Amino acid sequence: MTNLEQTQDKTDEELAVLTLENQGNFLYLLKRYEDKLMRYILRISNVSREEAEDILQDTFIKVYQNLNDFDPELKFSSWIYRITHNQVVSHHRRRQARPEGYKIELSDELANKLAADLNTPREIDRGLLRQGLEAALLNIDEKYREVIVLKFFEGLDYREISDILKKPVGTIGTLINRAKIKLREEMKKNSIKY
Amino acid sequence: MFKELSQEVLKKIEEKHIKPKPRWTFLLKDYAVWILGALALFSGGLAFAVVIYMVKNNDWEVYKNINGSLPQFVVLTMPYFWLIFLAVFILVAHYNFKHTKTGYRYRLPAVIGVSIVLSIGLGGFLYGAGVGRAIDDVLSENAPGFYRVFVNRRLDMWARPERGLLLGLITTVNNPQEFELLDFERRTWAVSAFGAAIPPFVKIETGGRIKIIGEKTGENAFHAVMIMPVGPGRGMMRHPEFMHGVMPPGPGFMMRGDVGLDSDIMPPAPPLPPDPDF
Repeated sequence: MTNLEQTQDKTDEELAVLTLENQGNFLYLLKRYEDKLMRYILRISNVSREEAEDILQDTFIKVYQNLNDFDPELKFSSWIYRITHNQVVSHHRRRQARPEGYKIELSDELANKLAADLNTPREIDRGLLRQGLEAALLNIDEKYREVIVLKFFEGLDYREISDILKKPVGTIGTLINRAKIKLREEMKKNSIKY
Repeated sequence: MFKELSQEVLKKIEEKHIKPKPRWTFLLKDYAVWILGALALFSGGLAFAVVIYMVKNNDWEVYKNINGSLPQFVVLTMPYFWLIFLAVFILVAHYNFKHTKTGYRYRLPAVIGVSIVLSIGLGGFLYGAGVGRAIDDVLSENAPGFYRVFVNRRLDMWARPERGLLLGLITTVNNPQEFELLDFERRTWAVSAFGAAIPPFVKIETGGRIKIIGEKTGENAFHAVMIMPVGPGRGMMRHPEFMHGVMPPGPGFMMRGDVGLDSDIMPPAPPLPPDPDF
């Protein structure tokens, strides 16, 4: 049985503990999160792929340095997303740039899921709908875009989003509702009718 | 590419000898946040204990003699210094709580509300234990200038003999109805208290600190109608500068209709025995 197979049935939390005993185990945690976090960084920031890799690298090093600070009350995924979120924010601060001019790509499945939550009619052309949603997502405020990304793209629940953004669950609910309203308004502006 | 990124991260960790920070550094930070928060709450409790002491002893029963209007009296006599102190420490407690590991989960009004309730509860307990009065005594005795200007301006309301209000230290007692009183302006008054209302716990004896409602009957003569203990600010009259010299200047409190105070500087008063504490 290889090391990789041995770690497959381990939870993230167990792997974090094992990493503290043996640094080599960190690789398995990296593999679990590198794709997800890379997509997350690209969705919430305006960085190039190369910059996103730099951010991700810094994120992983920060995760490693702070492994002893991991709170078992949280899910490991919430904790690692929080560190990623903070790294993206500090990256923006260093560059003193607002995240503008980048592209969010929606799969049909995601577009349908988001559209259903926005109560868009079924008869609307799915291609148009996807384009409308992508354009609307680019135009809404960063704080609203981030909760939409976490809720619909990353598929996280309110508690997890609350732990990542360090805001009360009630505030996350409010932010998501407002984000939906903003999305609808943006779609109306772009002539996507309901 | 991702495989390379993961390997690169591990390589960087090895090359730069990066290690996880020890657990105690995080625990230390957590404890520091909690301890500072608890200290802030305790300070808020101390402030509230003084607020209770000052509000409770705010001359409510004689406000009409001091200032005809109750709302104006309230505005003039609120212990703003301690209320601001309380608000600052509630905010500090809130800040610290928000920076605990799970403090972000609670909404601002809930955290502020709990901080206020805890400060009030603790303040009530500390007031009951006499801490509010002790703080006021220590502050007014050791920093009388600051106290008179920033903490308690109401003492100067009692330094208006022309309005029938007098406050000071009993220096000589001929008999319980006739005694001498040294006021903040170091002016000695011959006080007659025949027929005056005096609560049983107020003893007319040398070193006593009293407030008098009555009438100025001569250049340095005053007839008392009602005598009360000083309450908040009484520590000022234990300060050496009050006992042997000139008090630091007050805020110059003046009410409409006041004619001002004489500014004669009197020679140092003789040493007095310890305050009997009403």
